[in-house]
Amino acid sequence: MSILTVDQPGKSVLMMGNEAIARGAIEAGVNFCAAYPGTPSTEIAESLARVAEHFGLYAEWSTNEMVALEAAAAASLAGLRAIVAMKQNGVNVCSDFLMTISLSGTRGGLVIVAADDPSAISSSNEQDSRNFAKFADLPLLEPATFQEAKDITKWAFELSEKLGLPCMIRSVTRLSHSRGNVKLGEIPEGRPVARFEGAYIAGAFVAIQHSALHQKLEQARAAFEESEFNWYVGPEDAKFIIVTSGSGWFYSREAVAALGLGEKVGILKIGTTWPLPERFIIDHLRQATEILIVEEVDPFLEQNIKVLLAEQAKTLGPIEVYGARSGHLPGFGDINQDKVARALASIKGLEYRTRDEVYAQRASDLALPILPPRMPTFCPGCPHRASLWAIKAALKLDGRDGFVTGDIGCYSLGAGPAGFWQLKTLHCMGAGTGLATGFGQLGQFGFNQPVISVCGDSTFFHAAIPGLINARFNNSNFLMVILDNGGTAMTGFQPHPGSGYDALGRPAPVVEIEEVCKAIGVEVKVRDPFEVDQAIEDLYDMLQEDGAKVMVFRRKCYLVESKEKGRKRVFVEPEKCIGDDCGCARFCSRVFNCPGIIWDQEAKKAKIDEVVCTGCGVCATLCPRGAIVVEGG
Amino acid sequence: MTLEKDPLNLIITGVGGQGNVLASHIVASAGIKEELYVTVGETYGASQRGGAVMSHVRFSSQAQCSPLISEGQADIVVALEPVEALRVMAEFGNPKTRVIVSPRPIYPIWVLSGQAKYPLIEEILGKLEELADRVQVVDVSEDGEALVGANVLMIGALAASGLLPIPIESFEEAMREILAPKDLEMNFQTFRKGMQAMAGG
Amino acid sequence: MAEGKGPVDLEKEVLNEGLCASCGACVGICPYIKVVKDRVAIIEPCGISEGQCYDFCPRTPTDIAALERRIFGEESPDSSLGSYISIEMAQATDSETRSRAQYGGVVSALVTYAMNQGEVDAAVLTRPFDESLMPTSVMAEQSSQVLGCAGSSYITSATLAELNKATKQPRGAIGVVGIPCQVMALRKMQASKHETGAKGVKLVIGLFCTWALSYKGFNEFLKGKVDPSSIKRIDIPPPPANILVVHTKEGAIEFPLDEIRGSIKPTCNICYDMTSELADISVGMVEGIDDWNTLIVRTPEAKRLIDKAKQGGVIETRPLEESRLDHLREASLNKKRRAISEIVKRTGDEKNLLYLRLSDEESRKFL
Repeated sequence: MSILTVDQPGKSVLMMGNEAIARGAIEAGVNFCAAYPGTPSTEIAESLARVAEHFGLYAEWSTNEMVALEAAAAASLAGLRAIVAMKQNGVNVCSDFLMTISLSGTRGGLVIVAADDPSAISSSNEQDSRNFAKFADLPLLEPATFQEAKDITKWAFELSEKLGLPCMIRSVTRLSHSRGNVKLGEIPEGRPVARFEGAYIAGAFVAIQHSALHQKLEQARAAFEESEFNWYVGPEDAKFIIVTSGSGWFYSREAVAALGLGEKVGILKIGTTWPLPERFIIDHLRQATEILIVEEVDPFLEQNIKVLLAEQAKTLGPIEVYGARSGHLPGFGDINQDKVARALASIKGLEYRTRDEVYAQRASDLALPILPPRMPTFCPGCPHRASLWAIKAALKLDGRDGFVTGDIGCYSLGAGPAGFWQLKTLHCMGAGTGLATGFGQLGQFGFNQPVISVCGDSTFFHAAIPGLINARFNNSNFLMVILDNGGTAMTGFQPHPGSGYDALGRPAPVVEIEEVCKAIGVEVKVRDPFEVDQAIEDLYDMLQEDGAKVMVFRRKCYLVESKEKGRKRVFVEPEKCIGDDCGCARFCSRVFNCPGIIWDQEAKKAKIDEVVCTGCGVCATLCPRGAIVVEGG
Repeated sequence: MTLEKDPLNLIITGVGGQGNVLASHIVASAGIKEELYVTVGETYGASQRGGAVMSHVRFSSQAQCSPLISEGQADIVVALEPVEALRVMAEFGNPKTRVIVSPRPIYPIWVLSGQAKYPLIEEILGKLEELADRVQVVDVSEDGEALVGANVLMIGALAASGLLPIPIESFEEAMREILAPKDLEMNFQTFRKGMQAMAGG
Repeated sequence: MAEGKGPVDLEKEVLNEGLCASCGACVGICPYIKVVKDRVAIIEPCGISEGQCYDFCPRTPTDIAALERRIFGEESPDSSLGSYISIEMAQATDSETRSRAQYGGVVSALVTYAMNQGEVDAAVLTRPFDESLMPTSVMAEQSSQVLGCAGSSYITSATLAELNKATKQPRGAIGVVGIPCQVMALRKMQASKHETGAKGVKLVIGLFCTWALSYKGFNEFLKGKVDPSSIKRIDIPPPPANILVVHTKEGAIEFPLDEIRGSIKPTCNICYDMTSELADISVGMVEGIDDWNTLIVRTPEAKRLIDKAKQGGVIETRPLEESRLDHLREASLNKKRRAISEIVKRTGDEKNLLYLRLSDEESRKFL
């Protein structure tokens, strides 16, 4: 049973930050959850969906984040409590609604969780979504611990309901995906009845609405001044104070402890980050002469506090501010206790070392020369490997220097060696198609390079359809290859409108990708990318035609397929393998790059790693000597 | 309970797909039963696709730790893959670190394609010996079944090592809570194999 | 034979120069070289510096004299038509064969006969106009499949790629019907130290060829004029007609040959061989006589087969008039002259004849 359903108030359990947020929503009596999968936020909606039936709440994977927010807002307008969770880029996608729902106001508590990805561990950019809260005039909360992730989420619903305004919670990868101790609270009973009343019109007398919005924020600020989510630890009269929020709390505390500055340095931790709890901050900075601001990613807190300090200059006197602007912390990327400790140490003129220098050098000297790098690649059996090889071959055969515009998904790895360096552009959801429709109009300027846009099945529903319609309407010239592997794979294979089941695992109607394309009026073919030679020929033929065309490469993610259907055994018949020789040159292990294939240096033969191999059999069809065999055919 | 070293820092490392996350989940859940603060930090996302992964598991009796272990601050390293053991020791090791390692290589894609070399296992183990206080090799590569459950196997070895102040029962209870009922028996067997391997070695 | 060069050189010297003949000799040996329609490309260089692909290509430096010595035991004494034992007129005796064929049906008759007699177990043939403009290469294992491949297609398919498939599934003795560039590549494969798809080849029938059309060019040309799937046959009547006739299910359409010439493959302009001089048997048209072929027998083994076929009543032969023979020689020499001229235009150097390795005496005839 899911940890979210444990009904033992006071019990201490291990929870992922995202699970804690979900549990906080449960403890607030949430009724409605909508989301689009996005690292590092996915587990929030995923865990709520898993317990939806148990708690009688509604959970869905929406087509994209804007739709998710709108759907959740509807629940709020009908008096229910609703939560939306998204990664940082999702905030960008729903920004238009964000800017207008703040004006029209909401009714039932509406909580928007934005999970940022500092250092872009699983994203195509890094950004600080806190800026959106300020931009949209929404109250912003930043949990710093796993306990707080739960408690702040629960409180956010109350705040949102009191103000009639959505409330944003900002998390980061290190909190969302880490696990820690959480003491459970009570699970409420009762289920409200949904009913819509009144009107929620943004843009009716905007001046009045905007002014009213500012007043709501002042109410939020008043509540923040008393909030349990802001605290101070350290000496009463500290002259040096670290001001921090979110993940910075853990790092600051450890940095101070590591440098033995616990008696000298105080830490002011803000959980209600916007609007700033000004009185609370001013009260704690009265004795301070120096502050170090610790946060991920942008100097958001830093800049807001500097404004406050400027306004309060007479009261507080001059305070030296260290942070991103001073260069003590980077102002980009993720942070950790070492970066904070080094900043502190440099300011204080101390030395910070976490291990002996001689040992560190020795460790480096021993290890680095022999450690091979571990680049990510496609999983064994991934259909994208075959698809991108077919695309590479078709473009080479075409011979006009064609190229691929890429999009967001597992296949984004196609920009690198895993996908034979095929993707030449990569931005955000749908951008591959958008760029392609532009490139496809450049013929009158002498442009004659064929363009292939590569797009996943989930990406297609999320963002690519308008681009394809544009291509048809404006007569653009390109080939769109939709890689249909049956689910939203990058984030853990959640279902999408083409999958046939919903967030709760129930059967769902299938929106057929090729029918959508036909309705748009473009030529569409559906092929299995595992039939590589046929795929190459079809792609080549389509590249010779004018207009917008779609090729759907349909083959289920093989990790999922092999788990559902079991693995066939694949092995090499060594006497047939010609390995290094002309005619092969180690194609399977060296070029095709499947991690299930090993080159045995001693025997000079290819070998299948039977633990890693998922039994897809593509290598067997590509082997020039038929040396790879799939057991059972 | 109080810990001799507080916080106690454990790194579980391997290659994406080996089940690192499950391993750290089990260990951490076992730790919570001892009324410790436990924090687990992971590297996610690209890990599924063959990249190196690490779980930082930190135990404290005093307060919740940050999810990251500082450079050179690993007390225990449990490695599901030998190259990753050395990679982790290079950044997080110190002369007191204790290492438990599986010697079965998983070849990175660049090694498979001939762009990089995979070092000899003896060389890796030798360097680990030099950097760590003690290295224990858990090798059950003859047993085909055990290979797929390498993560649970190594947790068994860790449990039996006595390096963590967590009794075997807590590990078993954690596994009961976390694993699906149909997988329990097989995983318990693998766990015990790991315990035996530690006892033997 | 050229040694020490591989795919990178093949791409540089042949593919990127537009000189690929689409013979398919380099396709199917490895996963790195692919063909679609008549386009050959190296998907990725394999890293090998000395490769079969470069070795077999009919447009890489070729020691023709050495090939002739290997096949015929001596260099060819006749520089216009190559080495031969006899040149006659010939036709298939079966009228259905003649009606399905382009001219006299001799190739179809001989291949069918060879298969029925067990001289070969399979034949690599080309099937034209099968619902598509692009011909298909076929490994026929039943003699009943042969007639379906009758007729000229004027577009090259990568015939030898089909032969290379034989390395995965050996098929005993194989007969191959090809055009001069394909025949040359096949002979280079046979002369190679590698074990190749040519290993089982026992009979090589070469067709006369002046030029071939590129699929892309011809397809573009026909767009809006003819539906390719309705084409039954294409004819080029002898001069002075100067037309190309496309026979469809609805009737015949004529096109001025000059409008088609733009679609000729560039590689054909540097081709030195009109009558498949390296084949065992060469077969072509007889200008002005639609239901007879010109039959050139080049090797003793070929002569044995032809004699047997005549005795078996499958083909009949007649002497070729002297004037027709002279005309054939002249046509062949013209092609060689054009080739040399075109090559020297490309290289700017009379000493650099690209893939040709001619003796000084030979090249002096054309320069």
